[in-house]
Amino acid sequence: MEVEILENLKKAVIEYDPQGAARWASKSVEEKVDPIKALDALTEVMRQVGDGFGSGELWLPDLIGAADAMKSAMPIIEEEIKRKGAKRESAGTVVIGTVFGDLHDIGKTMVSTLLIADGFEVIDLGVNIGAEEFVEAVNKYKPDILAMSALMTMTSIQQMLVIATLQGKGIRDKVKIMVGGGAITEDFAKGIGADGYDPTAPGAVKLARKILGK
Amino acid sequence: MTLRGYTVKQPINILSEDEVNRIHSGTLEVLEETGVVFEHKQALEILEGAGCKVDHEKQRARFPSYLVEECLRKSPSSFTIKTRESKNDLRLGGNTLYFCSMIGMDAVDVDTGQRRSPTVQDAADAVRVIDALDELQLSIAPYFNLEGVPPMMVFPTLISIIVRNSTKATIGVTGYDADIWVIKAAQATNQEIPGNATSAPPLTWGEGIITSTLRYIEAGFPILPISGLNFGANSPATIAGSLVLNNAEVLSMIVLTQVISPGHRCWAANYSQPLDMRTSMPILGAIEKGLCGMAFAQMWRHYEIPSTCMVSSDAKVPDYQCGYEKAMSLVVQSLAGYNILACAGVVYDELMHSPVVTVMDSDIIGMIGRLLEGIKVTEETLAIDLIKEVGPIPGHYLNTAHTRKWWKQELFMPKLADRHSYPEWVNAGSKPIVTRAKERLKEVLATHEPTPLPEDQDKAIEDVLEEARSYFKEKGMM
Repeated sequence: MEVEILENLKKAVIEYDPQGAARWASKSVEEKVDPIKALDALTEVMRQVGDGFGSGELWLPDLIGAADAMKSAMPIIEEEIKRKGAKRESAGTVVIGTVFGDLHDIGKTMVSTLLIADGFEVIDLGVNIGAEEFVEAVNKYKPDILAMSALMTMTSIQQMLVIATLQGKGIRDKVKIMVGGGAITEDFAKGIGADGYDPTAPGAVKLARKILGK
Repeated sequence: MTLRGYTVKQPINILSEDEVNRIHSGTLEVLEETGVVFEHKQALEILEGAGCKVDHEKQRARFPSYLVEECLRKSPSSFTIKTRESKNDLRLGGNTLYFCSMIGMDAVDVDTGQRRSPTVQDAADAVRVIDALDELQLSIAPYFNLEGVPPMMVFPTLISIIVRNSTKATIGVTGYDADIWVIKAAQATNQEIPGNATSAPPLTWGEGIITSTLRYIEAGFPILPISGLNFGANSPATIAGSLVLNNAEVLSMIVLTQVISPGHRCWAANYSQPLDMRTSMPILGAIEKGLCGMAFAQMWRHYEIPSTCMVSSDAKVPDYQCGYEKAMSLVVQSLAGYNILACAGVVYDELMHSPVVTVMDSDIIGMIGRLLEGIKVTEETLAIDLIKEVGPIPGHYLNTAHTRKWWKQELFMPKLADRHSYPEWVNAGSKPIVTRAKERLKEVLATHEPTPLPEDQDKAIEDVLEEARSYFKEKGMM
């Protein structure tokens, strides 16, 4: 039974089926499957998908499709892990959002989804997020990484403002910062004191691991 | 007198009449049933007053089809945009095509070819080159980044650079209060600068963009709504679906504009392209962008509203890829029947701009201009009498008066393309195109003097900049 449930859970992910993934996650809880094993199954299947992307067999819509299916199973399994008082191993916690004045969602969502798929815990604040909100989230979630997206030159200044606000509150060194978005360059990222920048969504995931030394 | 531009006698239709109707009715259905988010209380109230169903909590307006159709009819099919010098006024609409520069973020260093932050001098040079080249009729901001200039002051500074170094028409940005200084600069220099309203796809207009757009409408300047779509990411993966979404977003802003100011000058922009499903970057050099652009132009010719398309390349340097991607896109989009193509100077999507590329692009535009002129078929050009007279070999045409009269009219001579014999090319230094373009650029910069602003207007521009600085300082934004 356990093997069957875990296989079906993995199958739902590689078939890009969020409803199926949630159903089999619930089933695993009902049938008292060790939630850590269920989580491992998800991690394993996402690694397969990630390898497929790396080797050129799979593409971004496959990667995001699988990650979305995984995302719908995750809360159910996480809840069970919490209930049992166990602890989840994650690659790190990331708070992510698009900065104030900027409604561009897709780049941020791609990065957020791919980070989850890679084993990060992600708190996605959404778009149009002000400096105070970012700082609040850093205080609340104590993330390893704060990731900010900005598409426009005029909103890129907001990334600078968030970093300055963190400095002002004396908590800049508590979190690594990565930035991205159309108007961002390596030089700009360095200039505002970010810990990393990558122009692409898959590159951002590698960057997150790199800046955490993983 | 209005600037000549180019005439597209016979735009190419790539959609059947039935396909045009299906895209249009799909657009109406999306506008009526799904609607569009306007993150702006006043805009929503205006739309509600005009007959839209508005969900204020979700900030969403749903547009009845009759209202959309009515606003399409109200939006003028051709109009003039006033510039600093009347010879550069644009008559937008019909079959007239103009070419425009295109914004990039960073500069390509003219000497080293390396990517770097542009300086104020780089921007002034880039604008001056565009002012000098007859192939280009509009000059928009070449960069959206300026070394040593605080981010909020980048666009105010750029607009000052544009009005000081060019008398050609330009287009202004929206959002982040940048529009305030564009409008003031336009008024100070006695010209009109249309506002380019950018949506956040899918189906969302941000508060700052709407606020700016309302200010442009109030100033009486034309509105150019644009939605940047990446197929499969913030738009359907299919070209047809992206056309529906693009239309719906642009039309929703045209409706708002027409409701506020009936008959207001608007035109529509296409900035749609595939997303690279490996890197997550938009692909501006893709031929599918060309296909989509052609269909968009056809849709807006059908609506009898002028249209614009952005053309670029994914190349990082002015190389073969840059040349073929831009040339192919420009050929298809020119034949599609657009009124403005923004293209010159840009490389790497919209992330780099180079005046060396501007010079090369103007050669492409010159060739396209010749293509668009087409073939003149008259008694004289058919040359039947001449063919009979010259007869077979040893007859030839080099010595005829007909050749002397016609060859220059028939043949466009590009300024940069090398057409020498091989030994001549070697003797001239075996220079590749980029080297020749750099030489021409230096020549243009050394010789072209843009018409200076009258002293009082120059002073007024300085005042606008000063006011902008105080404004953003007061707001704590710099």
